[in-house]
Amino acid sequence: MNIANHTDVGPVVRIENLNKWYGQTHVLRDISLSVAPGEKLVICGPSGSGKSTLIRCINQLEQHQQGTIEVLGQALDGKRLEQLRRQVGMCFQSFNLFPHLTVLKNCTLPQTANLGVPVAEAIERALQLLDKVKMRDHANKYPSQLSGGQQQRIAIARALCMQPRIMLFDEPTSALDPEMIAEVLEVMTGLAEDGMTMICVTHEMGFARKVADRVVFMDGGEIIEQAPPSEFFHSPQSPRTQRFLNQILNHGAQPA
Amino acid sequence: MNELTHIAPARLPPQATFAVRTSRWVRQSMFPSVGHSLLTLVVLALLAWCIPKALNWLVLDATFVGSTRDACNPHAACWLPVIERWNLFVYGFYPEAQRWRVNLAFLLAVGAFVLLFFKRLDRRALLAYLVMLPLLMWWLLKGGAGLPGVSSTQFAGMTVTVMLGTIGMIFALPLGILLALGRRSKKPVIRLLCVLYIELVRSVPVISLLFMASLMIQLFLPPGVAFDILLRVQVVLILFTAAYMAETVRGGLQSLPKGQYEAAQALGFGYWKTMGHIILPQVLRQTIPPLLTQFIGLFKETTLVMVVGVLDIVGIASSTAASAEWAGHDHEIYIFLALYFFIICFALSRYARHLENHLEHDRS
Repeated sequence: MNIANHTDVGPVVRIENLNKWYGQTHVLRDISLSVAPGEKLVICGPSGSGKSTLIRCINQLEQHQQGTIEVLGQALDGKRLEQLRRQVGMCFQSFNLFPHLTVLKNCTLPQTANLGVPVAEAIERALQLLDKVKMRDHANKYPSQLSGGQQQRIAIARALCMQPRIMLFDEPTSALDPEMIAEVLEVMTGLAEDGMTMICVTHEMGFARKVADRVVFMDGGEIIEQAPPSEFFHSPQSPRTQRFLNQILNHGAQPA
Repeated sequence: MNELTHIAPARLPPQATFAVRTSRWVRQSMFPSVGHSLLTLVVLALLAWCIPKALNWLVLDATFVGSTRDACNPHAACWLPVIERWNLFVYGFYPEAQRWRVNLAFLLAVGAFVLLFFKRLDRRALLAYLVMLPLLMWWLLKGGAGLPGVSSTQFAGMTVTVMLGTIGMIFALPLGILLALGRRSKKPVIRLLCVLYIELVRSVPVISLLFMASLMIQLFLPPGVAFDILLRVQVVLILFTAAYMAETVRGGLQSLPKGQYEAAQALGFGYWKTMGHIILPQVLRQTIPPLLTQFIGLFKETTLVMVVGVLDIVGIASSTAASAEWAGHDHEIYIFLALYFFIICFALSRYARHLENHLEHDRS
């Protein structure tokens, strides 16, 4: 597996003064953020705070109107998007597996169609990664035959098949039943241990504590606070962060 | 451990004997109440009265052997006009020595449906066959490149219907898909053109388009240049059906969750690869039943070519009914016509149903 290259000096993602509007609504305000190679970033915040929009901007599923985003040293200018996206894996809240393809085909098609990998090699890589997420036995099933947690693990394997240098997670466990959250987080933790650069939007504070190098708190389209998890959870600076942590930690959905 | 893994043994549902099930079915579906019972009796009586009559007229007392109208039984159907003119109905005025070409073309068309039945067949081979089919059919039927040419005026009967229908189906679908994609394009010029085309064609009756094709196009062409009339009506039928198909496909495109597009984008699929690998396979599966319904419609619309002077099977039927030789037998001729269209359209609709089940089965 291709692991983020630690000899790279510069940040893999560098965002400067990013602004985005939906119509008149200002959803991202002066965001500046940079992510070092191999870093694990957790972005959290109340719903509507712009955290999903922010990571969707990184692979340009959303276009921004102001500011610059540099991914792997290249400024995003709306050109050569496909090349960029092939290096940035993404997992969605609703998995978004292709329902008309088997699990295996879900994992091999992007490789063969977009990277020109020979079929045999693509299958080998897919099986290897399905094995890693413990889904190898289900390779010939269709997504509709599998549970949400299983589908999400396959979605992760599918993204990894492209050998991305960065992985984006957009609330990967929000659509899952409680007993399936653990299996997905386990896969994500394993990935983090392998040294993958990860940017995760998630409400799983247990995961953030265990895995993140840095936690970013967003509210109202702004980055309010960012700190290593120990600092972030024990001595949050902003009252908004404190309120958010209070709400989410006392809710009982914690910790994993 | 035992406590944790113990599951109550599974049991089978209760079974009833055949007689019990039959009597229950009769009671529940034929005589559930007084009103229903009355209705059942009335319908049964009607059937008992008209089925023997119809059978007698259509088959038992009908005339199948003979060569002139004198052989007909005056009190029952006389199928002689259809039987005697069978070749005319099927081949039209196609030269007799060349009829094998029509037979081969029919076989090729039927072959397409048979091939679609086999699930395991290589998709590329099937696609190649479907692409080649209309070209092959046109070449076989019209001639050229080694085969003696056959003039369009010699085309009539089923040959016309099957040719226009099959070639129309194969060309209308891809065109309809392109129009649907164009209508959802991000480029305003393409979108506008597609919307304009689709709406224009959909708001004009096909008959007026056929008239335009046969009369007006000639006005715009320099004198001496002429398009083959068959080619012109074929093009009109394709363009017309494509506009309707575009709307069906667009509905399918819109009903697909946005996540599918996003997942494809996030994996680095470009526009055409996204459409070809991810979106269209799903959309076409969903829209196969309505698309086949439109094919059935197209097949029946081929009869409209009569108004611009192409003698399809309806034209042959009308001229037979009007001929001095077989005058007075229009009932039989038109019943035959109805049967012909029923068989083909019913087969198509059963086929659509089969595909639908097949695809549902595939996915779960």
